[in-house]
This record gives sequence, structure tokens and C-alpha cells, in this order.
Amino acid sequence: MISLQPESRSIRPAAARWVCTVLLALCAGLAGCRDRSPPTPRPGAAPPAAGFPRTVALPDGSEVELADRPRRVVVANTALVDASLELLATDRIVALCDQARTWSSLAAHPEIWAGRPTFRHFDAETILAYSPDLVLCSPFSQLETVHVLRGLGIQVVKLADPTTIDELGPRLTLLGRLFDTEERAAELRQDLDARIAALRTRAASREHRPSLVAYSRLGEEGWTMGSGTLIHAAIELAGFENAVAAVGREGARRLPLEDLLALDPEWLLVPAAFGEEDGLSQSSVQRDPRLARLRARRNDRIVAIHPWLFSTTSHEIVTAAEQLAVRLD
Amino acid sequence: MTTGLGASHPRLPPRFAAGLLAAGLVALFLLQLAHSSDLWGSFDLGEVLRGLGAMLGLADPLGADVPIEPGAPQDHSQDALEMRLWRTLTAAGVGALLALAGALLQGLFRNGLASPSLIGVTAGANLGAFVAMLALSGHAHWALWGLGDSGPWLVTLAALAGALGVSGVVVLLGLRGPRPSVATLLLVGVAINTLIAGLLSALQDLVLGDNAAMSALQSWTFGTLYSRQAWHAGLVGLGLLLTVPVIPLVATELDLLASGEDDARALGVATHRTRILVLFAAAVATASAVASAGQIGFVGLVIPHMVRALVGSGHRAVLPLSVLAGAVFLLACDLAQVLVTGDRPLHPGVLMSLIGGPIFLWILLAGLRRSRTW
Repeated sequence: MISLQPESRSIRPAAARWVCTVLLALCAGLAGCRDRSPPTPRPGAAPPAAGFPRTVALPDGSEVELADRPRRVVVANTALVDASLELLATDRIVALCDQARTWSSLAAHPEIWAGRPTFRHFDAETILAYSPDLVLCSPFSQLETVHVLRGLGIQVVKLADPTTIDELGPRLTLLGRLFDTEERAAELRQDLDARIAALRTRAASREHRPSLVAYSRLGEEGWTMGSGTLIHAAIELAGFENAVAAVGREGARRLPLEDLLALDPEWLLVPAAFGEEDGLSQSSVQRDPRLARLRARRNDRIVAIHPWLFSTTSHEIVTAAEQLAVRLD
Repeated sequence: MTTGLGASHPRLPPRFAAGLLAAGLVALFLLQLAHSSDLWGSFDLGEVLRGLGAMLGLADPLGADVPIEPGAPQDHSQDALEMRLWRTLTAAGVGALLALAGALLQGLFRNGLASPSLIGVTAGANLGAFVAMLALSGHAHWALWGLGDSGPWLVTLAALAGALGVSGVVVLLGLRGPRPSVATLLLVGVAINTLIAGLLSALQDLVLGDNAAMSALQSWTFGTLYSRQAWHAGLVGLGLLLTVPVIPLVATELDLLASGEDDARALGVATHRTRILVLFAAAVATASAVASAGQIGFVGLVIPHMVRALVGSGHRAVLPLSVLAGAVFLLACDLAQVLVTGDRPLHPGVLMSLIGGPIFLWILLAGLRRSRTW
């Protein structure tokens, strides 16, 4: 039976409307009232270091204006951690992204950052707690966070991961200019260029470039890297041919077992487990009966490198290339 | 299992429940602003009030009285408090909007399983946001139309456009014909949701190898309250302003619709007008919530059930109290996760599922027990 009377007394809708209007007005008022202009230098602050303010051109064509030598740097892009640690004294880095402990050279040398702060989320409240004067992140790091930090006058530099070996040296130079450590950057770049040149010479001297597939498998699905990736560049630099790129595949992509069998590379490059010789990718390739006839497995040509080197997009990819090249000697 | 709304017996007078919820909301609001974190410590009530006063130009900003030492890092206490304010207002507003949308749709469909995702709003918002995020991360740069620098705005606006666009399509298709029924609308919603779910999976599949893009998509999928700004809070405020006034226009009609459309029509209810108003309010409420904080599930589904368990099923009480309860619930969950998980916070959508799932189950089982006793 239908009752025209509601079961319970109502809340007066006008009150709800009122609350809502007041909240909105308060919200707009609070947002509009405070002066949001970037902070001006405080009286008593030290004068800028020599060479500052400076303008630094970025690879995407934009420019960043640094008022002073960065003294409190936050690195929110794992790919920039290796270079930042080499170019800066650790006391000028105030925090690193948490992933750096796993996916940068810190995975192999945790003592460098032992007991120092890392953050899991790139949110404005967290980053602001470190009072940074320079924040390095990737182009697609939380857009809202970048917006808020820039609104507060903090320099945020977005740098895309390099995809070729030739981008690595200029990246070091750029970071050196941002950090005001140009000399150290020049030394590092000189050393890096020499290592790259040596690898290129060795690769050019080889008559045969054996085929190789970079393969990772953490569950049922296998993954590989085609052209346009830094690991592809490292494979070529080491004197191998990336079998996946050779059939026209680009970027990170799935590699079903039947495709791996069809490619049948002479060598396989897999990530090792953390702190162990035998990683999941390696053991799945070595033990999976469906891959028993794979050339690389029959000839015991499976190269396992540390997972952070397998995935790195820093200049340390050259170390991965060197570890690969050694296997051809 | 019953999927109906059931005629639960009120346990609290609605005005008393409203008073309790309002008091809880104020307490949570202050706690959220003042809570302690390992990075910031805590703000006491005086600092919170002074910080809010500073935003209105009535007091000095927090940290302004800290002695200045050359080379020392800048004090950002005032900025941190402001960020917490926007986060708090956004969380409360999103909870309120989602709960209101859920209560409206459960009333319209006469089905306790109806939630804001049913009419395609959430799926549409996800589609818009996904396309914008993929465009910004370089996978579909053509879709930016030269708006690449307006990143955060772009994702929010794309989500809003997607939500309103898709729900518009659902409503238009669902209400076609001489005598459109809510059942048709429901089925159209299911079909469109399935289609968009497939599209979203395809988009995710295309960028599985791109960690940055995947991380952004995942963050959106589970909702986020990080780095909220004034315009996020403003958007949910606008959503409330557009939808709360609809409550008195549809509350009694939804009560009458509970016995069926034909009966309601016979009693003089303009069913078509009611449907349009409810769908408009639900779509706008969900769209502004999802565009401001991503997808946060379960609020719209669970809160109306909790409110009905407290005050009965009359929509004149359920609808406004759902607004309050939604705000309290999401704010409480956000505060709880900040305090419990510390520097390893969960996305609000994850937490809502973890908390909302068992609560929903408890409400259902309690309902079954009551009906057996009866």
C-alpha cells in the first residue's frame, strides 16, 4: 500500500542548500583572498652564488630560470637518480623517490642513501616538507603536484627518459648546468664518451652480430623491448642485434612464448633476481619445457644482469652494455 | 538476495542524525587539518584557525614569525595547511556528491544495487581522463589540440566532458520511445558501461610498457586526493550547488515511485520530469566528483544503505542525510588512512573498497536477519 506520508520526518532542504552555498562561498573566498604570487627573496637571505641567476635550456625547447645555486634538490624521477648522486654531494639532495632504492644504482649500493629520506607519492604536501629549491621529475609526474609547486615559486624541471645512447652525454651536461657542477659533469661525460667509443670500436670489429632478445617474465606473460628503447640501444652498442627490433617491433611490448620460439635468438638477456643469481625470468626460461629447443637455452647463452641495469634509463645503461659485450669476447 | 530498498525501521530521528553527522563533519574537518604527519608534525587548533585567518587576510601566515637565517630553507607551514584545506574540502564534497548520486539512483531504479556508475558517468569520466592522460604522456599528442601546458585542468575537464557526454548518451537512448521505463535505462547503462570498459582496457593494454602512463592511469582508477587545489574544491562545490537544490523537487516523488511508475503516475507524479531531474542531478554530481578526485567506488553504493538503516527509507530524510554522511565517511576514511598508513598511503578507492565492502555485507546480512525474524 502506498503511503503519502514519508516514513520519517525530513531535513529541511533549504538548510542543506544554505550550507552548500556558504561552503562554496567560503571556498571561493579562501582561494581568492591570499596573494598567490611566488615568494620574493627574504631580507637577510644570502646573495646568489656566482653565475646565478642563470637560464638553462631544456631538451623540449623550454627554459628554466634558476635564481640561485640549488641547495635542496628533490629527485622524483628514478632515471635521474644515478646522475644526481654522481654530480651532487648527498647533502644537496634532500629526498629521492622511493623507487630509486630498487631501480637505480642504489639497488647495488644501498649504503649511499642508507637512512636518508625517500618518498612514495609525488604529492605537493610531501614534497613541500623537504623545502626544495629544485625538483626533478618526469614529464608525466603528477600534473597537479607540479602545478602546485610551481605556483609556490619552486623550480620543477621535467625531463623525459633518454631513448638513445647519444642523449646520455648531453643529459649529464644539462644536469651539471642545473646543479652548478659543470666540471664534475664534464669529467663524467668524458669518461662515458670514452666507454661508449670503446664499445662501438669493439662492436665494429666483430664479423657477426649475434641475435639477442631482452626478455623478462614475472608471471605468465613475457615482455621484451624493441627499437626506440634504451635497452635496445645498449644491445646494439654491445655488438648484438636485437632480434625483436629486427622484425620491426618498437617499444616495450608483450612477447608470447610462440613468438620467442619463432625468433629463436642466439642469446637471451634476462633480469636476475635481487641479490641472487637465478631470477624468475631466468629460471622460467631455463626450466620451461616449452622452451627446451630454444637455441640460447641449448647453448647456455642466457645472460642475467641486475634488474636495475635491465630497466635503467640512466647513463648506467652503458654498464649494462659492457656486461653484455664481455660475453662476446 | 534482495536488491530492493526495503522499508527499514528508523532508529534515529532524522534531525538528531543530521546534528550528529554535522558535528562529526566539523570535528573531522578540524582533525584533518591538524593531524600529525612524520614530515610536518601537527598543527594545533590555534595554528589551524590562524592559517585559515591568514587566507582571508585576517592574520599573519603560519611561519611568518620564524626568525630568518641566511641560507635556511623556507617555512612552508602555511602552504601545507592550505593544501590540507583543499584536500579536506575536496574529500568531503566528493563523498557528499557520490552518496547523493547513489541515493538518487537507488530511489529512481528502486534497486539497492544502483550506484553512480550505472548510468555511465564514471565510465565516461574515466574515458575522458584516460584519453587526456595518454595524450599528455605522448601516446596521442594529436588529441591535445595545443593545450598541452594546461595539464591538470585538461584531465579534469576531459573527465567532466566524458562523464556528462556518456551519461547524456545513456539517458537519451534509455528514455527513447513513447513509454520509456527505468528498466530500459538500466539496460542501456549496462551496455554502454560494458562498451566503455572494453575501450578502457584496450587503452590500458596499449601502454602497458609505459610505467609513467600506467602509473597515472592506475592512480586515476583508484582515485586520488593528493595535491588538490582550490579549483578542485570549487568544482565539487559547484556540483553541490547544482544538485542539492534538486532534493526538494524529487524527494516526495521518489517515495511515491517506490510502489511503481504506474501507481506513481496515478497519484499525480510527473514521472518523466522526475526521471530527468534525478538523472541530471546524479550525472552532474558524479561527474564533478569523479573529475575532481578520480574514481572512488562504493561511496555511492554503501552510504544510502547506511543512512536508510539509521533513519528509514523516506527520501526527504535519506537524500540530505546521504550528502552529510557521504562527506563524513570519505573524510573519515581519508583521515584514517593518513594516520594508519603514514608514508605508505593507499588510494581512497582502495580503502573505500576495503572498508565499504564489509560494511555493505554487514548491512545486507542484518537486513536478511531482520526479514527472517519478521
